[in-house]
Amino acid sequence: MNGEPIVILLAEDDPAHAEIVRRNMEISRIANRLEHVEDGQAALDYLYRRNGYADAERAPRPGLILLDLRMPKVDGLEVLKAVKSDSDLARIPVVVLTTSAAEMDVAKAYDHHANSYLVKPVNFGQFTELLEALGYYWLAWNQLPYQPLG
Amino acid sequence: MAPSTDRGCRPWRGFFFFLCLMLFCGLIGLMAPNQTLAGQKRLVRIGAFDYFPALFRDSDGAIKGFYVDALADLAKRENLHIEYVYGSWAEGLERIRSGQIDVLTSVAYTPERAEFLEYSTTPLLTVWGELYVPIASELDHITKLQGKRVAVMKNDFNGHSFIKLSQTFGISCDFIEMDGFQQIFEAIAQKKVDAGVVNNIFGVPQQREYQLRATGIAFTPFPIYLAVAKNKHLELLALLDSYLLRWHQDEHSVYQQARQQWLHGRPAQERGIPPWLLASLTGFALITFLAAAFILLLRNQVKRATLVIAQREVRLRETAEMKRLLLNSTAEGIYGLDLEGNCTFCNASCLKVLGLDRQEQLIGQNIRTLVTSTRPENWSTTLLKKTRANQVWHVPNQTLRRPDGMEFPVEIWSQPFVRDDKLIGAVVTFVDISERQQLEESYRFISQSGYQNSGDRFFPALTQHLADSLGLDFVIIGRLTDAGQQFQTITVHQQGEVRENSNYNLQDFPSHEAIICSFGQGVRSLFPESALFQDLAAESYVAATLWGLNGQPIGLIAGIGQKPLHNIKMAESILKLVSFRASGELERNQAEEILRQKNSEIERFTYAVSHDLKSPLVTIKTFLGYLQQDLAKNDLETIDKDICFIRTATEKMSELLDELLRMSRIGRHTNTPTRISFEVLVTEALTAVAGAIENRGVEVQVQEKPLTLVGDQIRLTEIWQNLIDNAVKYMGEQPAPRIEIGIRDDGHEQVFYVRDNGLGIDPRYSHKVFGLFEKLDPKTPGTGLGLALVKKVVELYKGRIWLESEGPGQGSCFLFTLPEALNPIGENKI
Repeated sequence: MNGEPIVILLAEDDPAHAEIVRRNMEISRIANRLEHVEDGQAALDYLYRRNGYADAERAPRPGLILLDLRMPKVDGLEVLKAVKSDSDLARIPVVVLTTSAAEMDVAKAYDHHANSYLVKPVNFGQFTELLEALGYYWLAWNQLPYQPLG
Repeated sequence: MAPSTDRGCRPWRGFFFFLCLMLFCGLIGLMAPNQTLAGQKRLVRIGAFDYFPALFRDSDGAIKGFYVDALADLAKRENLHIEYVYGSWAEGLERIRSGQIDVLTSVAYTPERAEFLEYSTTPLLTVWGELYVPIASELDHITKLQGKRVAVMKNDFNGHSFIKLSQTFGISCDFIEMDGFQQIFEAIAQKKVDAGVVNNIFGVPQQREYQLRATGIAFTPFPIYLAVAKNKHLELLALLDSYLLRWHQDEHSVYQQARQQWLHGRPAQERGIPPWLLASLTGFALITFLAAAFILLLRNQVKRATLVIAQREVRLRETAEMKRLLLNSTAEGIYGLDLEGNCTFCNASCLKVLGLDRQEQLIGQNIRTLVTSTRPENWSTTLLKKTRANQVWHVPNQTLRRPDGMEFPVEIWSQPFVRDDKLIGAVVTFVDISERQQLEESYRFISQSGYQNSGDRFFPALTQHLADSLGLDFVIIGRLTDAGQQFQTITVHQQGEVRENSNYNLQDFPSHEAIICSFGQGVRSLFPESALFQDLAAESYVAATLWGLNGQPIGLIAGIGQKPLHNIKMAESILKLVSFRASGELERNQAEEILRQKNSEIERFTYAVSHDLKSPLVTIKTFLGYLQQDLAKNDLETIDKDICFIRTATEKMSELLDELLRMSRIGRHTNTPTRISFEVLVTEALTAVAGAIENRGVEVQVQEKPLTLVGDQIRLTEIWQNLIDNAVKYMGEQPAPRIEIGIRDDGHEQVFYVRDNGLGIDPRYSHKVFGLFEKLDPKTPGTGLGLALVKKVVELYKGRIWLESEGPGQGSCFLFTLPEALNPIGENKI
């Protein structure tokens, strides 16, 4: 830990869902910086600092990735594959956050070394609880590896 | 048979010769007494000349004719003795003038003759002259006589008349004078002259004997008379005249009868046979008849016996020939063995199968030294043992080694050979069963191992089997694609190894539409344009078309050899046999593929639906929760936001449900197919999205092309509608937005296109655009179902759709084909 709160990268194509995550962070008083990208390609561009994400200030290296699976251009699984096969990015915990509860998706996600797989609950209370727990677990309790800056 | 008949006839003929001799002697005897009566009567000398059949000297020197017969009767009645003085006609005239004869017959009246002759009042005959020629002569008209040699009788009235006649016609002939009509006929017959003039009395009965014919050139009918010298024998002339008158008036008179007889048949030359001669002749004839009957009987019996023998001989020959033919026409090899195992006979097939040329190479040889199996001691010992035990022996599968060392499988039968209840050996029959075995092998393959190797493993196993059993270097199995233009391999087997699959042009394969096609050798030179044959140095080729259940060719099994294929018929049989199973496998593969596609489509659909429908639901429920909290806090700004999120999510859900409904209808709901022009379809689609086009200010360019499509108008319109809508949506910031719609002719197919100059699509994502709920930009409106729907309609018409785009900012071009809308089958697609 370098003392700085980690940056969370949210890859989510649905603006409403991104809004839900943001609001819940506020509710749960999670002060970490949330960077939102709308598709898989943008997520990869962010991680590799390409196409408008070259500035390290604008696109700081995330300490946690919240990844939706069904996204335009490049889907979540492909992003996961890219992250986990890149020695430089592989240690970043990737939490899959999706509406799909399909077994195949769960299996594939873990095959590609996802750190967690969460299904967005339909009920309001549950979704909020989930995000709250997620925040506590990954940001408070979970020991993250050393993340170099920038 | 003929010589024996001749031999049998000889004594018979001898007897008849003897009988004729006896009759002749008898006749000579009969004639003698008549001559002795002549001296006591009045002598009348009559001039005789050859004027057959009235008056002539016969070969025996006697003067004969119907004048003679009539005058003989007259002489008998009037007690006259007639003496004929023979000579030529001219001599006769001279003799009457000189008084050497008293009467002349057949004299035509001329004033000159009237100077020294006295004529009878009643004529003897009325005659006319006629020209005679050989039967084969072409002379049929007087004008054709120019320059010909024509015989006439000296001083003859007929000849005289003809000479005058020819002069009248201006014809110049070479006339040759002869003494009598007979000489004239002889001269014509001997070709000394071309034609001759005689009168009808002579000519008619004599022409056949000399092989002559009347030309039809007849002339100058005139009467002929009896004549005496002027002022002499007038009483005799009166007597003769009186008889002539009576003879003419009475048609039964001796003159008329004699005339009839001589003209239509020679008279009997003897009258009265002595009784002794008759008796002896009768007795002799009877004995001769009996002898002849006996001879005939004997001859007949000999003839019958000879015939029976000859028939038996022919039958024996035929039977032997038939046996030989049967033996040699049999496909099975047949040979005979004695009890020692030596070959006693063999047929042609036996020699052929054993690779021998002549029977001598086998007959007399011990079969053990010539034909052996892989285990000779067992085979020959068993055969001989069975033969000696008078037992039938049958081996369905035995390997036989020929004298030259070649081995092949045979089925053998041995049957004991018994003559007069004594066992003398065996007849061994054998058939080369290599072909049968190979077919059985193939049958076993497709029925047993084929099923074990079902599915993906079947085709590699089949190509391996075919290559091994037919000795082929290259075997491929594949399916016909691209409307039968291309051949896509499923398995490629080349010289013992499985090779990578590839596509071939069907032009490389001869007659792929034939059920079976084979070339034993020289296939490369027969099809020089086939790149495949050239590449593989093909020498032989055999292929079977695989047929689908709809009767259309769906695939091909083809084998190529680098050496000639000797047993082409067997190769065809094996290929035919396996092609049924291969067709079934191919169809099953295709059906499974379609099923897999459908399943995966359903899977994708379910997945997409569950995700995409759940997503707005999550939004709605969560924001309803927020709304509740915000309402309690009375946070108006956030309330607005919450409601906006909820509205967007419900709209998205509703849109999704509509699209899903449309999607599910494709292929299920059918509208009656109609004929619609390309122009109408595009216009309808443009009308449906007119608002969006106008709002964005897009310039639309439609190619004018007369083309009619057949299908469900609503579905077809949707293709263009979605593509145009898509183009407008992804126009981006393009200042001069443009959409081009048209048809491109790609030779074998018509390709429709919708091109825009909008955002374009990164080639990396082009494969995703036709997926369900796939959107490249989450901010653009729509469900992501539009292009999936287009793809589904296109595929319904057996078409394909693809995207061509240079990348972001370069615009996109959607291209698609609709084969079944352009060439409808049954016109029943939706």
